[in-house]
Amino acid sequence: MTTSLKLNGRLTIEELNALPEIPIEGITYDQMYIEKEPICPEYQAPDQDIIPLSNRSFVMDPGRICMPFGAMWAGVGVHKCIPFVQGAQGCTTYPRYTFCRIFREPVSIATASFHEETAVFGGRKNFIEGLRNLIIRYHPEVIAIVTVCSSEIIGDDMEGFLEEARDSLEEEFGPKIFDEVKFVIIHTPSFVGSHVEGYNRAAAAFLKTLAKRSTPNNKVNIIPGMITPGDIREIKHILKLMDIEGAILFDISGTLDCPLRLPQSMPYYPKGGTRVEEIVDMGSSLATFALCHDAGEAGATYLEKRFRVPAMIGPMPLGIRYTDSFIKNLSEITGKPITDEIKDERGILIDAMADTFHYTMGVRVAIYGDPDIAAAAARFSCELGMLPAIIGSGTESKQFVKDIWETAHEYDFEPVILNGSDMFEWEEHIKKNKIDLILGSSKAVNISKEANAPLVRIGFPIYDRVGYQRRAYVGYRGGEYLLDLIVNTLLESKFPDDRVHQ
Amino acid sequence: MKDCLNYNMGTHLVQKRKSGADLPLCSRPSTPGKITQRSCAFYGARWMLAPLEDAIHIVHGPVGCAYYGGAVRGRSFRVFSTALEEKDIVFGGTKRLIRTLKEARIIIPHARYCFVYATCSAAIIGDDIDGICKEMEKEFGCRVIFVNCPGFKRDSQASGHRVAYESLLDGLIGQGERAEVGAHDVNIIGDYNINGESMALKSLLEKMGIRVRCIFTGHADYEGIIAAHRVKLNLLICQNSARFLAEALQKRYGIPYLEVTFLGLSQTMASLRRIGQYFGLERQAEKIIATAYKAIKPGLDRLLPGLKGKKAALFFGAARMASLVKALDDMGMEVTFTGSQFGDLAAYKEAWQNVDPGAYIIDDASEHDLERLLDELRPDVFMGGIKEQFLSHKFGIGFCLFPQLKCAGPYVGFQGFLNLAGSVHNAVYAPVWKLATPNL
Repeated sequence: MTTSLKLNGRLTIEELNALPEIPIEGITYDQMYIEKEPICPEYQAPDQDIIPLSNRSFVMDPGRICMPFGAMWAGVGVHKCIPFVQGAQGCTTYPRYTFCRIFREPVSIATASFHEETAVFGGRKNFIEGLRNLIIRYHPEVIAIVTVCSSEIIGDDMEGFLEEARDSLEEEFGPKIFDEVKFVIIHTPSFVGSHVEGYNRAAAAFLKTLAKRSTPNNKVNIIPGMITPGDIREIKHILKLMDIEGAILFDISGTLDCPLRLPQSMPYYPKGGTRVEEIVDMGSSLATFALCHDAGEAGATYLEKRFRVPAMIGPMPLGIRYTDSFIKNLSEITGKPITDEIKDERGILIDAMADTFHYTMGVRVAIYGDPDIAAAAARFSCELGMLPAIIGSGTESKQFVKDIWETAHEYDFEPVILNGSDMFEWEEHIKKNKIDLILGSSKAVNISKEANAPLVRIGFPIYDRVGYQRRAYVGYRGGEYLLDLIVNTLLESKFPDDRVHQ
Repeated sequence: MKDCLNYNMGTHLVQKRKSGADLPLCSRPSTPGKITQRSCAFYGARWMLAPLEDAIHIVHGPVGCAYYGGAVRGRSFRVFSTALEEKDIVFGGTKRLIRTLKEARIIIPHARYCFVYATCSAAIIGDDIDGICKEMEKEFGCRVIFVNCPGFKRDSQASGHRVAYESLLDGLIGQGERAEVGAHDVNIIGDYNINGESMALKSLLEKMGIRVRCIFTGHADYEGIIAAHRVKLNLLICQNSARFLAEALQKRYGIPYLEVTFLGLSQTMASLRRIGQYFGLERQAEKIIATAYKAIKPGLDRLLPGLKGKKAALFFGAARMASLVKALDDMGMEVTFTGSQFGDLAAYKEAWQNVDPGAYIIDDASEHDLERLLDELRPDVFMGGIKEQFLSHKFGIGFCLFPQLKCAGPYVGFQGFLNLAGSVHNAVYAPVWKLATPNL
């Protein structure tokens, strides 16, 4: 071996390539200096005056999508339901891409195929022809008609169009067609609210159109909000442990996380999803639990006003306290006792928290997500002894602020709350503060890298890792999973390997 | 299969017969009520222009369009959104757009040019975006380009591609000069660098002594685009959307173009030879072909025997529908159907020439059409975009995401052919397909 080769200090890539030979003991990482090429010349903090959303007119890195997306999410959760989007082709294809990336499942959404002449003359012709085509080709049981910005601005009279379409369908197929297909209109102009509000409106629209009061059925209704299939399975598990019969409105666990079983029937429909009969029956239930205040509250309130089904709204059952309140409410409403199994599950989570608090205490965390998920994650962070310093929600929500302040008073801290702001503002706050951990979606990956704070993926959307749609964050078992994720992420990033052994 | 033909498809689906040339109906709006795989003009324009990262991109419309438009080609890009709200829809969004433009300049002061995209809502309420762009151009002293791509424009994202190329042609190309122009300078038109293709092509051509100046729009920046008219030759790769630009450059600046494609072994070789012939670099071309082929030969010997005679099906945006058929032909595979979302007549003609008799060609297939074709023809592998991927899996058919499969590397050139063969091999022979057949 040549003695001329001295490896003291760091080598750049050029020097490394110029080496005559690699020393026999190899070159370790700390001897290499790999320069990253920055995209922009240097980070320059932008003008501080225009960082708060109220001081500027643009939105960058938005944490919300438009309303139709939420309505489509809801529609996809119903058995044999195809959302029909009264808008341009992109309004269906972009959401389908988004669903595919997150859930890795095929998603059927039909388009009214708006073009120039539609923008001028309105969407009546496309709507009537489109419903007919959709019924002939796919034989859906429900069609969720979703409007978008263009059809709302043009002023398409959807109710009137639907009447016309029904007349022509009756003429062609006879009156039995209305037993086979139900129509639900969801008005979701994209320039108002966000996907969360779209889901909320869809819940109300489905119940208004379909739910009826008949003999009481001893069930509880659950409107889960925009949570993952895994979460919904966990809710079902809790209901089963307590021996409660539940009906879930928009059960995406059966449609957006499906088994692959051959041979496949044609046309492809997932086996699961909420049945129409279940929705009809929701008017006779014991109570309605809307797990997310902002996504589902409208549906629960409608049932309360119209059919006197008590509405139990929020908070999302994530972490100890919020899950406790969910389970207590369930037990009170149904009169079923809280079983030993559930107490054990709670005990296991508490035990896990006791075993790990040394890692989590005092960790400063930044949170961003949909309002209910962010509020619940903030509460759980506090329960772990962490300090949620910056909490942002993409959708504006009064309840979110209320929940956060309640948590803040209880745990005595002063958070920065960004209500309905974008990730650009959130990012600037992170850069100014010391943050150890980020709880957010895949949209926060770059921010986490720049801020040198590891990311725990939670909420919507997660498209750069697999399996998150199958995992639960809600309930005690979901809390366990989230706790493990948080602690393991901290262990991996904050401690050298030899300090993590037990 | 006959049923499928009569199934309200009109003649968007044709089968190649031994005699007579039937081409599918194309370049029409989708039928309402269809679960179409197509997208809108805004999508097309974003697809083209997103990678120009030294520009400011402003989406004038509700926040949803900016959210979706931020993710292009499997990557995230930063866009400014005017986030129109109800009051803007009623009273007009022009003030908001002007403020956004000014604020974007503050956030990114070093940007050399701006793009302003129109969306459905902005177009319907009738904001004078073009006027504002011209006004702001004077104020900023840099190009502010209006991309007129409301979602309902014409029949698919192809119109957005066209608008994007028009805006580059009218707004930027020819605005600058280049100090020196080499004898072997070329532009590549129609490569989108989804998976590192641009770098692969660039290094392949550079070995031949050809300097690639600008790649539309896989690897382009301000300097490259404004002087794009100062080259000797354009290489046209995507023959559907990009043909417009190549033809316009020929007409306006007298730059000839060569139609080439680097998908598949035979086409890569032929393309390199054509380029070599044009520049008088035949020897270099032959040398590259010989060494590169030698390098991938062992890999091909390992993979290709397993692929011989396997059936494939294709469904893409447009241009690859035809060229990939040839690439699969090089692997000894057979194409049962090929199709595209928005191909034009020329693209279908080329596809028709490339496929064997008996194969189907389909335009703007709905999800249902794809289901039927997959179910009845049962190909061994299906290639297309992410929307088709999970549908194909549900029918137990291996899928090769093309060209966005990030873990496999680029599919162009020689090494790319090997990558492609590897991906297809994986899709055909993944053990999961054997395990999926019920044995319980």
